[in-house]
Amino acid sequence: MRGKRSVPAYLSLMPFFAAFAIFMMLPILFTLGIAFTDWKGIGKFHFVGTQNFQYLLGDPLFWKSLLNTVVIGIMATVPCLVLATLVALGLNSTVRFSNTYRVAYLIPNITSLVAMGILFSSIFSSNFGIANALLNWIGLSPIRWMQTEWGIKVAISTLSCWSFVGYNSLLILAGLQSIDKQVYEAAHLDGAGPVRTFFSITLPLLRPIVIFVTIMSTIGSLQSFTEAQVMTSSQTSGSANAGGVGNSGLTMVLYFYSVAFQENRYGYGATIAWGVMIVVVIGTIINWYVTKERS
Amino acid sequence: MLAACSTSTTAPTQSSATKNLRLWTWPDGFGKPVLSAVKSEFPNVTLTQTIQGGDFKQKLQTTLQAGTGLPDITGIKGEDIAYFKSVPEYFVDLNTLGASSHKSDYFDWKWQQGTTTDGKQIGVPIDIGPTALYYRSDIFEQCGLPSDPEEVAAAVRTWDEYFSLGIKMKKANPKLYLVRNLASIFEISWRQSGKGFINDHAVFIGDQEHIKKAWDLCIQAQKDGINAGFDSNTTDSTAAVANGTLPADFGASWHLADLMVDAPKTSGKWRVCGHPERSTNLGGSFLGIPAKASDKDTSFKILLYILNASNEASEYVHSGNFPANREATHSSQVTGAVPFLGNQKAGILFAKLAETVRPLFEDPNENTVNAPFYSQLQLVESSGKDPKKAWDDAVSQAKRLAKQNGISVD
Repeated sequence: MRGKRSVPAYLSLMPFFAAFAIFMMLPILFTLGIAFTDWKGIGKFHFVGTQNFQYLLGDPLFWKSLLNTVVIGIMATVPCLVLATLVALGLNSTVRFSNTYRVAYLIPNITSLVAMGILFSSIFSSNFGIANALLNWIGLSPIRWMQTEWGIKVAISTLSCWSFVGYNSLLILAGLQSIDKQVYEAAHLDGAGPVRTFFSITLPLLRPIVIFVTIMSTIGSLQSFTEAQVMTSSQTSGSANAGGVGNSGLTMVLYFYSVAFQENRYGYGATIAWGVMIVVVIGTIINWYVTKERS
Repeated sequence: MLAACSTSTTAPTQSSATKNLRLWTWPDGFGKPVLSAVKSEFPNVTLTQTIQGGDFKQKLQTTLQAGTGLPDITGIKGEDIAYFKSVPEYFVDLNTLGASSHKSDYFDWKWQQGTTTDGKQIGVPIDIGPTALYYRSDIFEQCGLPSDPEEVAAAVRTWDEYFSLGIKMKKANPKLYLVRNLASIFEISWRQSGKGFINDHAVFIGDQEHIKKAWDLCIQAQKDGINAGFDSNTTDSTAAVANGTLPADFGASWHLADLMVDAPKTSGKWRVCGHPERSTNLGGSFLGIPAKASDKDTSFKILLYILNASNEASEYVHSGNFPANREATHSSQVTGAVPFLGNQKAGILFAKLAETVRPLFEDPNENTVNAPFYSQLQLVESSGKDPKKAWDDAVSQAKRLAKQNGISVD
């Protein structure tokens, strides 16, 4: 591989690396640099040593935002995967209009999350929302969704689940279609019913794609921001009041955004961003470890 | 119009005849009447207004730091002025261009908001936001309460009187509330004390008597059961304004525009009057000149011209931003009848209220440090947290944040 032959390969990779260096690597290094300062977004840099990192370890709001992110992530990802699998099975067995259905399920994923966030805050509004209308219809008393800790989490995770079901189901559908038809025929001859076929054949053979979808969803949910930012409103710009009642919808990235861009505490904001990165790396390692063990 | 534009851009900029200057604002910017007035007043200058969408502060901040691509005149939002005052080296001290002789043209407390502690003038005020009480006169009347603006104002001189009015209203109709949420009282009541959470020596004072008093008022409103507890900017609170569940709402002069959008069908039924105790200020922006601007003198002349009485008055018609220029408040464009308010002459009231606003020192970390108080009030109203515990938690959180940001804590 060495020698002249590799030159064109590297040259054709250059545009990507140049863009990566300018738009990704430089900002990442800059963020690492300002995490050691108390920079306010303008003016001079004052080196403060590891002060920001020490504060981060003892910052209850950071740990709360981490917990919120994980809880909302689980509440969004688990139902999303189950629904996506069901939708994929449905899409796989439809004979007519299959492309129409596929497009229809993908539409939530390509719709602006901000617009959807506004729609979902209406759905979950206390007095005039569809969510409470449904509760009312089945005889339950209404909930002040956006004013209770769990209500906020349910609302945010519903939005994020809803917007990813279609996308994930297309990935799973691709997995379903790559399963050899002969395996099903063999199972059918052996007298396996649809449920048995699903659990003994479809699911095990789908595992690689399910693992891929789980890893992508985990990384995505650890970085979730827009849903929480649009759906929770606050009276002031301070981070201590961000993410709705009791900071219940404060995700890690929303916390970082609020500290850096709303409060001009860029130094500490950068520190939180590094905290987020460490959490994402740990999450990915766990995922990788789990999948490696099983295969 | 088009012909004029193209001649000015094709003409060489170096010639003494024309000068290109740039003005940065946010949506909706300055109206056409103001821009064409500038055009005829300064025939040798082409002023281009650039409306920056998105996060205006961040764009200005980044451009100032970069030092290139800067505007000659820039808007500075009221919420960001304390922050930009902390880096005065990026702006022209307008006093060096003679700003101090125009000080008396504007409301004094607003002018001071644009002055640094060592006397540099960073901005000249565009508009102000004196706070008042908006209410539905028809619903007040139905509940047997006073409904004429002067009578209502006289009936609610103190917060206690306002709360008893709320209780009276609840007796007449239990579905009605007089308070949107506790934060809507708090944001006004702590400002009424004339002091914030951090003093001008960078010392945390948020645990002192003046804040505790403002806090206790909110707790009282909660106990009296007159608080609706609707988060601002949500469907619930919009609907409550539109359907009359919330027949009263505190807000700055610009809040009128929100009401008009939220409740267009109730036009003519609203009135405005002074709220309990003195008026405070919420919002209101400035124009400033970046230190690296090319022609500071001309920029300053244009800046003053944009912010003169007749232009600020015409801006009130354009955007609903109440003029910071005192003379402008007497203009017929400002003092006219407002149909949404039953033809009440709201401008006269806002000008009167503006005279009573007290200057307020704002540290750039103010919003960081006061956020825990808003957050804890929200817990009191939504989950019934013990007010005493909430206060203690707010103070300890605020102290922690203050310390991290270099504010001394006793």
